[in-house]
Amino acid sequence: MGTEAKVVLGTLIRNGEINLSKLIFLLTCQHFLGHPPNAPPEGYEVIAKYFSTFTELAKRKYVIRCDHLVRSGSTEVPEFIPYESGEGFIVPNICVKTICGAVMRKDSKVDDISNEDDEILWKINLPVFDTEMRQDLLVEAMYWRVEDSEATMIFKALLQLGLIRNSFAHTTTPISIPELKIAIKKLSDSKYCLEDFNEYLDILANESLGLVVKTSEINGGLYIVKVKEAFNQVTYSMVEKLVETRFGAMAARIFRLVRRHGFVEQDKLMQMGMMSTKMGRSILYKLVEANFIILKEIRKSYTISSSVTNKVVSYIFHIDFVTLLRSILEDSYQAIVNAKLRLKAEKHKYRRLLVKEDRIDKILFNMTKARCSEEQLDEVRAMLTYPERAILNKVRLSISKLTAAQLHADRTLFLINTYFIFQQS
Amino acid sequence: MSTEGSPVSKKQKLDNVVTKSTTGGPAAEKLVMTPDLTEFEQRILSLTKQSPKGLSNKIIQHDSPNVSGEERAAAINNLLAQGLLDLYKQGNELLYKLKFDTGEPAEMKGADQEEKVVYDIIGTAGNKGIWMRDIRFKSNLTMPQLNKILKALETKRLIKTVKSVAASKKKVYMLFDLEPDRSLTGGAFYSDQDFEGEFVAVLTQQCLRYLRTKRDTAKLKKSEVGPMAARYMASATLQEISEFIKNLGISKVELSQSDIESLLNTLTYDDSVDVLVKGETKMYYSRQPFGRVMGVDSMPCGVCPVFRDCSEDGPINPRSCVYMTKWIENESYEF
Repeated sequence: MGTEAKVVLGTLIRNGEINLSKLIFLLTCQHFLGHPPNAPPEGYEVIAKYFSTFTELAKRKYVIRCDHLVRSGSTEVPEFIPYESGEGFIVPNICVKTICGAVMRKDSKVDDISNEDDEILWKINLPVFDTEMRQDLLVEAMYWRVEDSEATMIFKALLQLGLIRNSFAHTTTPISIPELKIAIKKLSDSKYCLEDFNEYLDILANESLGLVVKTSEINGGLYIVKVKEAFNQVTYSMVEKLVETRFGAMAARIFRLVRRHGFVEQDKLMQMGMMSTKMGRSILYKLVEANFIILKEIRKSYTISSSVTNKVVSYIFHIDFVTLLRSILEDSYQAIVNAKLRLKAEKHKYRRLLVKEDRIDKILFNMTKARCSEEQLDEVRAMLTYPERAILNKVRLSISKLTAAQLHADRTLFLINTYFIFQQS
Repeated sequence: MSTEGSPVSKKQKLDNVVTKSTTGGPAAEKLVMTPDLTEFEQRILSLTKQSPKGLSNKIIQHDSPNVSGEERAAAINNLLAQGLLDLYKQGNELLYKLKFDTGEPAEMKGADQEEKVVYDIIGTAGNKGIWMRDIRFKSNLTMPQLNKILKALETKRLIKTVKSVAASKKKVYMLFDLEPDRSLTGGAFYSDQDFEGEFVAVLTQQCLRYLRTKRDTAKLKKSEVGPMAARYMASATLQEISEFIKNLGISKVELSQSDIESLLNTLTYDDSVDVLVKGETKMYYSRQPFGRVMGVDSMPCGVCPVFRDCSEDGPINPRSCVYMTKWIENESYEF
């Protein structure tokens, strides 16, 4: 939806809940960066742009009205009541003149803005974003699997159409081929050529995971996606990747074998995995120690004669996937905390330099606005020496890495929580 | 040739025992040629021929009532010792059957009864071999006796010992000329009871490389032939892959199709290869795993070996963590 939508949502997230007039005011001030427009038409243009962006966001349900306050009587405590299904996305009118006037006055504050929509507060509609993130996860997974953007688009269309009513459905509603074709045209802005449509659909339906299933021959065929099964597969894949990164490819092979066969003995594992007993045993020990695999003892006895009975102890391996996921969940939270602590430490260590850079940037900005000469700007830039710039580059890199790491860990949390939601529903 | 009811007072020597097949009777029975059989012994042999299901003592007694029990026992023992009769037990009754020429090696001809029994037990085990404990149970011989017999048979090169890959301390005995079963030797991927891990890894890599090359070639032709045809072009049958490995010439031993199939199975366990069924043909193709999400393993904490010992204020803490420092500086975290 463009950069404006990103800016609108970013401002809305920072303010939590805010009415539309104040939001537009903040966005317009941000746009002009503390230097108000010289004439109202400039301001009107920017306000209209942000208003239309917001309207589009509300139409797509990315933003929603907060529960509204209902006062039933002077003595009773007022209640917050959610809006009816369609009403929560109705965008109220705003007074452009009032907002523009406030923007043009340098000393205006956001609390000075008052309009008829004062009591209509807006917030981010998180469930819609969650649904989109879940679908994106599956679409990305399917893209890596089939390595085909056209087949992936068909899969995306199946998901979007099939999960409209219930985003946590275990399987999507059956979608016919004509519906799919219309959805794909919309998704790809009619750029997608439907020439090999049936073949791509067959590729998806014949995929070994069996996530896309043809349920009927009506209307050319009705197709569903097994969403719960897809999330199960993505979660298994995530854990297998974790095992591979931590213990190596052989350990990942053993892990997959144990997962496939449920309860399995060591000898059979070594045989199927085609590895030597010595190597396999050491890997199994590491996996058992880290609680990725559980060792179970089985005592068997066999009678040789009436007086002699021999007892044999054999060991089998299996995976308690739910317990393992909970442990990874806890570890992911801890990893995020560790990343935050390290980020804080890095910023603290180089705070003097970061503050100096910030100050220099502000001076340069003001000088640029005041149309100072290039020599004057270079003089200010030289206040930050070359070694200091190198250190700052390193610090910025570490900050971005640690921030990205937190996002990746958050993705793991999101996936595991989604898995549990599907298991419990 | 014995006649019915003739007393066994004189010992008649015979040069040969004539088989029925030479007189035009039913063929199949071929007796071991041996001299020095008495008339009574010959009579017993002919009676066993008439009773293919087994000849009991009662029948012999009934047929030759004049022969004493001692003489009967001596005759039967002689026939058993010469390997002309086999002794069986049915319930509480002893039965005697004609022993056919099993094609025993010449060395076994002079062997004593115990050695023959052990040899027969080992022979029945075939190419899977038999454990010493099982030979002992079946033969009812004592350990020292059995050890002596086995040593003698090994010296005569009639039997051999083979170690099993499944249990390296377990020795099994089998006939000398037999090729041990794959379950004992381990097959093409074992050399002297050791699993050739590197050899398997190289072969697996080559199979994967072949399939990936096919996939890349098929991708380029997708626009010409269509996606489904490209998918089939990217896949290969077991035979094609076996042919490719054979042509590479990296394996000194001959690899059977089942060996190649087991390599491909490990690739499916590695989530690098999948199976496509076209009609009745199974085809393999290379593909990516489903859902390789960038997760907590992209940072050191996700895979740290001392994660459980890490805390905010402890000696191992995120602020001074060396793995984090290495990762921030170098993009890698090797432990």
